[in-house]
Amino acid sequence: MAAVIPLSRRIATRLLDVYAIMVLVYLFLPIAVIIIYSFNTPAGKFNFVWKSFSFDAWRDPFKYPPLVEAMKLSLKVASLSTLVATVFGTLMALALCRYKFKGSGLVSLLLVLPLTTPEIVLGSSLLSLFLNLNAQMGFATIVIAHIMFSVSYVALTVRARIRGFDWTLEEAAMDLGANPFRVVMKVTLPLIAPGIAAAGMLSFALSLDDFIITLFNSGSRVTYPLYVYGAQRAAYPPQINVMATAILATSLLALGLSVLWQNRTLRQAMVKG
Amino acid sequence: MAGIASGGARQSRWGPYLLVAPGVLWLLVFYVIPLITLGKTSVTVVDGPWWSGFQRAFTAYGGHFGRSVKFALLATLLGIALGYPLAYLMAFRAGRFKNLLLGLVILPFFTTFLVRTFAWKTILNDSGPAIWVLNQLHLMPPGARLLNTSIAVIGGLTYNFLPFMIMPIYVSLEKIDRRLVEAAYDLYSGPIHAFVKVILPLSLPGVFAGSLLVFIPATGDFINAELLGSPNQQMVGTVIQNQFLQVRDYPLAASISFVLMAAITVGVLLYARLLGTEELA
Amino acid sequence: MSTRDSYSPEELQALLRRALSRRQFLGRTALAAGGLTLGSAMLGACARKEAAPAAVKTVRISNWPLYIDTKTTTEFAAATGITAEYTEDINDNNEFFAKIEEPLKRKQSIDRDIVVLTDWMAARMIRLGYCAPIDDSKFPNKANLVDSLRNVSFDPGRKFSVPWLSGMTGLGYNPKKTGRELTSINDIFDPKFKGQVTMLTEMRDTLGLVMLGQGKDPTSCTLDDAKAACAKIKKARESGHIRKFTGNDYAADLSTGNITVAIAWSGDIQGLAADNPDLRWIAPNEGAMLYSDNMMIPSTSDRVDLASTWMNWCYDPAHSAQIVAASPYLSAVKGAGEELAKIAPDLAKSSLVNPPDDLRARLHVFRALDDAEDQEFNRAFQDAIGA
Repeated sequence: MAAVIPLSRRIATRLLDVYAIMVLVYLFLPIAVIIIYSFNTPAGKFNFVWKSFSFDAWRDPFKYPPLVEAMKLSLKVASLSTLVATVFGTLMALALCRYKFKGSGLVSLLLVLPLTTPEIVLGSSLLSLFLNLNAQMGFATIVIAHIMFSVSYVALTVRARIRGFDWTLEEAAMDLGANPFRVVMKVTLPLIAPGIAAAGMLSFALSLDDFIITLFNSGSRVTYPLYVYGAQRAAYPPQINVMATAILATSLLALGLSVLWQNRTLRQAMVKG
Repeated sequence: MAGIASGGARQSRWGPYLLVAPGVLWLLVFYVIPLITLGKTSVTVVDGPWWSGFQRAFTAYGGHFGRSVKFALLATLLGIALGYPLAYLMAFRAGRFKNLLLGLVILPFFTTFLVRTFAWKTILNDSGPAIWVLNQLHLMPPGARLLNTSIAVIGGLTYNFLPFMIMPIYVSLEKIDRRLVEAAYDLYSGPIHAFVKVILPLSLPGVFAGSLLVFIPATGDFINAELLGSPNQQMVGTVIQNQFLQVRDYPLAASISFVLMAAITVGVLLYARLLGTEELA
Repeated sequence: MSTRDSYSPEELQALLRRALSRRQFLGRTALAAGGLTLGSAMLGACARKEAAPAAVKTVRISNWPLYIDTKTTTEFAAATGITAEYTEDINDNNEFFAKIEEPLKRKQSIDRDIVVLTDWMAARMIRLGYCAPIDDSKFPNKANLVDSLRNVSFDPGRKFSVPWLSGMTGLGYNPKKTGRELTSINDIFDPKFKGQVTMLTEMRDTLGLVMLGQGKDPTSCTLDDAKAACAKIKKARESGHIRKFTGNDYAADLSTGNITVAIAWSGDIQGLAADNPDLRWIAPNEGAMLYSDNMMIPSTSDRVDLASTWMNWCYDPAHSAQIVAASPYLSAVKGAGEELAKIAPDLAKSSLVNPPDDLRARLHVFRALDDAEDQEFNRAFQDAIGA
């Protein structure tokens, strides 16, 4: 087989590989800086200039209680908003893929619209709503906002993953008289689980990452991005990098496990198939 | 979409509506109504005619709009140039590393936008590594800088939204039948020819979706301009943020937001017409 | 030089009077007009104070970053049994005000019992009735407030506000990069420093200094003076001379060497000594700006007593000295200078915390602006800085 592939295509493929790897390097360049600088011992307040290597910040990651509080808040917000957004989004994706119904076009449009709205408009318009409702800004408003922008991402990601699936299995189960709940648990869910997992991860990442919308709707609460934004004006301790690195490592671990798991289910499926 | 009718017949006709209800309600209350509120705010002018906010949006901030569109367009084009090959590699050549690569592409998200942007500040610093490398290569005119320039802002925008470009392109490439790809390479004389004739057209929906997912947030962004730019690189997002959170001229801020959204919508429609696709994501 | 009260001399007092008295009448009228709102706010505050559960022993404080030492909050908690929840979330007066304004207007809690804002913003807060009166019974140390700051126009008798610290705005620079000593405000416009200059987004600081450089007095300036200064700033911004307009964040750029000259707050440079020992702060020949950041209790706080207890703690001369030792600004507490000499003798002699007479003579306070003026000035300034 390999002999048949012409030289020009092989060269093009090599070049492509090299180029793509360079893009990956570009994606990870700042990440590398973040990790490296978590081991820095800054001379003063700002961890922007390399001074000397040490484990100081790693030994004392919780040195700044406000930073820890901000991190906790961010993780809470991300967990809760991911949970809700993943449920809502998955249900919408299922409806859009499995049924033809009046208004499905409108629903699709409603899903896409938030993506076509700049974050600053999302944040500011939500703020004016909360103001009109006399709502107290805080944890709830942050979560509401995060669910709002995550739902679209979840629904579209799940939809893209399950579109064109063969649903005959589900129907067969129904035909055999299995109750719908069991069908969903035993057949549908495993089928769409990888899509949901991907969407959930994306939603979690987006929530953890969001600054602009949160800035408008956080009231007196400070999330991790908000803390970082404030910190750079006065002091930027390496603990910020330690936190970032820790989340990264955790995500990498989760990613590795999910890749292993997916590969295993893939193999099982192939064996069975 | 052939199995739909039979599936639907089995269930209550309310099924799909029940499924979409929570999400739709959420978006109606926390997306649509806020936009209407914002619309009202934009015309609630205390001193002057209702359209004075819109007038000022154009007269005083035309330059910011132009700059935002320019920067966002450049970031989009750069995103395609950088993202497409990687997406291609992931879709056709990664084999069992595919999922790993996919994960790696979204992994940067887990380090927080702002922290990444500060890392760029460290890299682009006047005495930082990027300048050092460019100086070694004699590519840097003396006294020139990277940080707080247009290059830094466009680079930051490209970087931050690149995963949004890669993912949809990857999804659309992945859907292409492998046999078709092989046949194309056999059929056409050169790999470039085959790519242009077969693969590229089939992946256009992904490029389209990716472009929107990059262009739209990039036009509204103000963090890159604020942290990596100078006052001469400020984008329209900066103005909106300033007017909302500092000057508190709400009608003006809302007007600018609306003009931005309208401009984007028009752009998106034109672009969709051009590419002839209605598919997103 | 002998140590003395950081704020006592007559010059300062006269200066502040001069700056603020012109608007005193106006301020009073506005106060009277806002009296109704204020009254209900007070009632509300009192009513809620009684209703607050006895178990709540936390005072929630918002302040600017790095404006306190590391021990004060824990020592306060140990001595009083009140936990101080201290948040460094104020980076900009306007930005913070925009956050708290709507809830305060709607009489909602902002989850804060103390906020610290600059004079002009404190004036606005008080005028709008967004401050609860301080509980003087819990604040006997109020007597330690230096005389010169007792009767400011925006808060005669200091019913609603007391200074946290005061500061000066001048030039911060890196002599290694300038290659010379700077003496004048207009040095910041030296073409040699093109692209290596930052100014502050805080209008009164930047505009005030540039005006002084143009021979105008910010204590009595007109809109035309402001516009002239704005034109100069705008020109410098458009030509690329000014690299950024910043809040506290100029500090990072100054220490990493991206910036050579910055409009800077007096206490910051000392704090950057570890990052870059070369940096220097000066009050230019033409003068420097003087301001205070004031502690206030938001009208919707249900813990006025706890907040007042916190103020009392900070107005102990020894406690104030401890704060100044970590954040070298000017204390408004009588006797803090002597206390500071005990714990940080070198710093106590520094002109940053104890300005000599010739420096005091050059300090200016930006005149009070009413809302309409504020908007005009701000519009010109925002245009100048390209926002």
